[in-house]
Amino acid sequence: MKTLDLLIGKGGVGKSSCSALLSLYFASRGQKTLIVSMDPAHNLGDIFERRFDERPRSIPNGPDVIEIDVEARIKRSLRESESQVRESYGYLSSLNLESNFKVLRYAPGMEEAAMLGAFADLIHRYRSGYERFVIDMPPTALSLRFLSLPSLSLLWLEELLKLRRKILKKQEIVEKIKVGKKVIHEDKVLERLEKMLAEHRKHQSFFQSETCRIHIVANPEKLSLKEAGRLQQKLNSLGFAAYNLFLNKDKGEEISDVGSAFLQIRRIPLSERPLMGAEAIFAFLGQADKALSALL
Amino acid sequence: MEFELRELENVFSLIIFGQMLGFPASPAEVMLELMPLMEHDIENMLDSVSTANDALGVLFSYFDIG
Repeated sequence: MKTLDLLIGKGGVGKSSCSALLSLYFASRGQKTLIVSMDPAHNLGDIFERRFDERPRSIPNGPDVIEIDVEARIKRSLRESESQVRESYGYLSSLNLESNFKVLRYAPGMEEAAMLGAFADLIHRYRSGYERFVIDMPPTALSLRFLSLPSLSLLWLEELLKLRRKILKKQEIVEKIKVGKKVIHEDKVLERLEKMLAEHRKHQSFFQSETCRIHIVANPEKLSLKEAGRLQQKLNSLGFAAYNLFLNKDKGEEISDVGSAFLQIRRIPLSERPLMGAEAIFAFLGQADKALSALL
Repeated sequence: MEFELRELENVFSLIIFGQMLGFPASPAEVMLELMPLMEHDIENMLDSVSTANDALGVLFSYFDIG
């Protein structure tokens, strides 16, 4: 994998269109490209005029396309956890497992955790098969929660590990007093916490590596540009920085509201006809060449 | 020390299962990953519920009184 480009921005600015354009651009330059939609409200199917799912589907002379079903992943992970719990201690009927798991579907953090799981699977499965990854991200709020999840989880996991180690140390002392010798137990909870910590450190380090490039998509309007500036500030506070601002539907007018927040501004011109279908996007590629060539 | 250990275990379980108990706690994915492995901790929690109204009785039992 050479690069992984994440396109984020407010709903309706054209993230999916820009993602499709970027992925077709890479593919047209002979680079094997995978474009992935992580937005629960998928648009790539409308843009390429085809249905997609979690298996890579090829666009002729273009990228391969995947649409992640976040909802199905959440249900699957809850089902797996529920069946493991039932297997381990189904006799604890007072736990009222079924209704508790139904509620968990809507628990804070489930959606972004499912996205992160999907993301990790993608990288693991396809990293060596593609040179370029383009990720069409959900609107701002969910994208930010997704990007901040590894750091947030690390904070919790580090503290939980400290507490668990303290508990195990006390258990050893109590057993030594009672039994007269140190009894070493394998603690599966500690092992799982350590494994989760290692995984999240890997995710965090990947997001902050040079391979991973975050781009903000905005429109050449005052409100959209101010939003983009705030989004950049928010990313900075999470330890990220947007690589580029994609100014979508650009009419060539001068813009003054961007400030120095961004390294580069890539102007994607307003298309005369709707960018629906691979043919229309291929035809438009020439007009966006200047903006996209720097990303090669 | 047994009492302290028990309380630490309770705190650990509360932090993990907070989401199910109605207060913000560790991320839901942490709870889902750990829940199948925490049989002993869940049993302790349920045990604590049954003795919650008799803190003195619990303390006496640690000192083997009565």
